Amino acid sequence: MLLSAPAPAGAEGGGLTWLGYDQAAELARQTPRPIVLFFSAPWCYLCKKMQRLVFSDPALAGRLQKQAYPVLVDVTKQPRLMEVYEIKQVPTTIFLDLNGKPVLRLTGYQNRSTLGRALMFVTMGHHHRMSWEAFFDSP
Amino acid sequence: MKRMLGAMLTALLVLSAPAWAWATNGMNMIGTGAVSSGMGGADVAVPAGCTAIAGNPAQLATTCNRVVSVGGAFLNPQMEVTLPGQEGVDNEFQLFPLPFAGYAQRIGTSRWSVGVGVFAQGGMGVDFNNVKNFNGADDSLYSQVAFMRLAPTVAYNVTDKLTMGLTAFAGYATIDYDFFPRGTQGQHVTGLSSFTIAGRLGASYQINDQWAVGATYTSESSMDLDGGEMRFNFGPGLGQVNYRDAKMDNFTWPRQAKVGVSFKPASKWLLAFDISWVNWSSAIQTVTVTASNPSTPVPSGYDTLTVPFIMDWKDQWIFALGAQYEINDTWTVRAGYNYGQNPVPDDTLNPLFPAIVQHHITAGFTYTYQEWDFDVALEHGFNTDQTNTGAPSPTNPFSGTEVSHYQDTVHVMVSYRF
Repeated sequence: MLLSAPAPAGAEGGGLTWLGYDQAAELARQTPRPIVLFFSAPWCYLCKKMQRLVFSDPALAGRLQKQAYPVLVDVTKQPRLMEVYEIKQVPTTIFLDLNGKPVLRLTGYQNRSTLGRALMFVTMGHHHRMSWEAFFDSP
Repeated sequence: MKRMLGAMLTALLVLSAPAWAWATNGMNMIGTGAVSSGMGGADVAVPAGCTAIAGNPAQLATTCNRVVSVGGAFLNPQMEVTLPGQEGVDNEFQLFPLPFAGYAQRIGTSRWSVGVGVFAQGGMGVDFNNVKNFNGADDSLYSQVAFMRLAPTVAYNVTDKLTMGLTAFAGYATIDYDFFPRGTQGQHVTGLSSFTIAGRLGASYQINDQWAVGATYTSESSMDLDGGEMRFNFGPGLGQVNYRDAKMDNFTWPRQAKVGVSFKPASKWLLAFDISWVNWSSAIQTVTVTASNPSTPVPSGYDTLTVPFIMDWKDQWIFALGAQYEINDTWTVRAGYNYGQNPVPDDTLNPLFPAIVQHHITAGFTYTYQEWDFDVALEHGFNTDQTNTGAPSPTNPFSGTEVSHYQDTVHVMVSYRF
């Protein structure tokens, strides 16, 4: 599922160091971790707001950096990835498991709490046992 | 989801019923929506959702997916009129609903965004009871000017930094007024209405991550106010005569140009400043009411009446300053200041149309819960006093009249993204 694509390697995202798509794929091959794809666009106000208020949160950014490979995808520059992952709107956040398979898709603005739970859902393997909705509603 | 949309559409229809405004930049609201109003109306270079339909259409392009917004404002004006030789009389209690409802969406991940909204553009109105007319008897002064707009809007991201937008306005205006109806020369006019069309072109340019600029130009809305009726009081002799056709000429909604800048001094702060020019001098000069087709026989020469109101409003400059701070991804707070020059000349002040408030302060917040935004703003228009200094004449019956006016407005809005 992982494809080669232009990569804004190391792009800064308010506390989080974003990886390029190829870079994340290579790192995932060497040291398996989930990949978090954040699809954005230059005109997307909510995408910028998420970068400003969500991905800039030190706790969340730290967890994303340690437990996954975060990738920022500009849909205007990487239309192939948009096609492959069937992106219909931005912001969209997709979590890939250790095999590169999409296991969770979140569309629209997500707050810190939701993204934090989503990261736990994928990194702890809960996606093998229950749906995202059931996990999200669990205490 | 369907139930939620159904409830919102129902609310839209209810709120879209004719509403009356006591607006304060002349006859315009200082801002539409709780976000714009919370920043004092400084919105031309500020990202907006649905309310871009009533502001800078280019900002509609900041809509990422789909959003529905329903809300409005409740405006409470406090006025006093003092006619020469009389005690001051307070305005009757009034609470005007000013609705807004809109829908906007981006077309997939393309560069196009579209939307449509209905909202109260502005208006004005007074309700003074127990004032003495020119015969010295108890009488009233009353007016209601209402202007609603339906606004399909489109925006296009020309480049990653430049966005253009266009709104077509289909408007509906109504005017009623009472001018000392129990006294000689008194008038009771109802049912004047007009459909209007106009357009607004907007642009925004993101210079860099900190600075953005924007501009809009709105064309004049010509009005053919007719379909009304007038009851004219000729006093002893003819008495009151009903005229079945009444119309008003030379009353239009002005063209307007607006430029603004926004600046982010830090990631969570946003400052905005707008300057607007409103061409009232072309829109409101000598407003003429013509009544014809009397319902009872009248002497020759009384078949048609023409009543001029010399108003000669001045062009208006408006300065708006706003600040926004995102406390976290749940709470955002705002504050603003708005100064609009008084367009009403001293020598033509008419208490039926006293759009004189100049200084406003505002404050507001947004609470975000999942896909919902709840916006609230409070607006206070400081008291302005004005006296008609023109010489008394048949076309200036309010010579020496004093008007005082301040007002408070609460803006609320609910938006749902999906």
